[in-house]
Amino acid sequence: MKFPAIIRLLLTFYKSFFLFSLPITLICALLYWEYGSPILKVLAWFKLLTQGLTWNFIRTYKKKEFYYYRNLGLRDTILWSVTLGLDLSGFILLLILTHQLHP
Amino acid sequence: MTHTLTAKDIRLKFGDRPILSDIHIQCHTGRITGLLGRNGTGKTSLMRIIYGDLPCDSRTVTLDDSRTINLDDSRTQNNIPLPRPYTQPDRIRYMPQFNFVPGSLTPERICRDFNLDIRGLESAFPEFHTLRRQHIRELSTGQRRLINIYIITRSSSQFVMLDEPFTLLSPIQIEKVKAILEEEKQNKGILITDHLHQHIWDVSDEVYTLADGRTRITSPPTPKSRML
Repeated sequence: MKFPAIIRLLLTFYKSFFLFSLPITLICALLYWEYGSPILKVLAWFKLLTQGLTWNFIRTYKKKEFYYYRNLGLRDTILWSVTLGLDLSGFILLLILTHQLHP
Repeated sequence: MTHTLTAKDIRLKFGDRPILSDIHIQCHTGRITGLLGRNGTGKTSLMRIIYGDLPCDSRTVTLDDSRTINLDDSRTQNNIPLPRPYTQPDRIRYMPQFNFVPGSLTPERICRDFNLDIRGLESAFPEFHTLRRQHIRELSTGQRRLINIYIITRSSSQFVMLDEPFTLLSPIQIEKVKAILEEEKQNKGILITDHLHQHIWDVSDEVYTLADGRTRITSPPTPKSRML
């Protein structure tokens, strides 16, 4: 399978939990803006916890859809590692941005 | 060139209850292999074990593919073990008995993902002319099923396994699916199971029956035996 097709599939999978994940990331950024670095550890653990919940929810309620990706050659481990990695990168990037913009 | 998919030495238990114990099944390219059995005999489990996504006590699944074997090599048995076929869609694809396509996708997008021409789907099933940009979740159960069958059967692969393809379809749609299977068996091997036995007999070149954890090659029922 061609690279753009793989990216398209990964984004489709990411979209299945993006609407849950984005508000969490935004709330974390907001809290970081308010309270600063003392709560960084708490925010990181909170984000990881919600990622764990997402993983469990999708694995339970959308497990049928994994056959779609498998039939196209995308293993579950690749789907999860790329999308959760992307999600975490977005979270870190937003916190860095918040840190830099904060007066 | 003919390829053979062999599944044997498969053992599966649910708790203390043995489900599969003496399995030997072969599927050849250019042929349709039927699999029959009552509810709960393990047909779906067997397909999932062949596909590699259901753990079991023991499992041997091999693919005879002499093209990829170096004759100077001592491994000239032509049998390539397939520990995780679900990672090799060019060898095996599997259609489960439920809709597996994400609801947010459209028939057009699905065909693109599977490298298929949407016009092929539309000419086989004209109702999709107006549905090509419709989300899958908005389609009827039968239409979803048709898409599932079409993409798995038509996409390029050496073998496909279809779990209950005829269920949920109308008689006209079933006839169309049978025609597609007949056409596609020229390019691949097809393993198929369904509760609608007559359709399995109609399309299959050989039929296995799964009972008491064992597979046996079965002859078609004669008109006389059907009356009994």
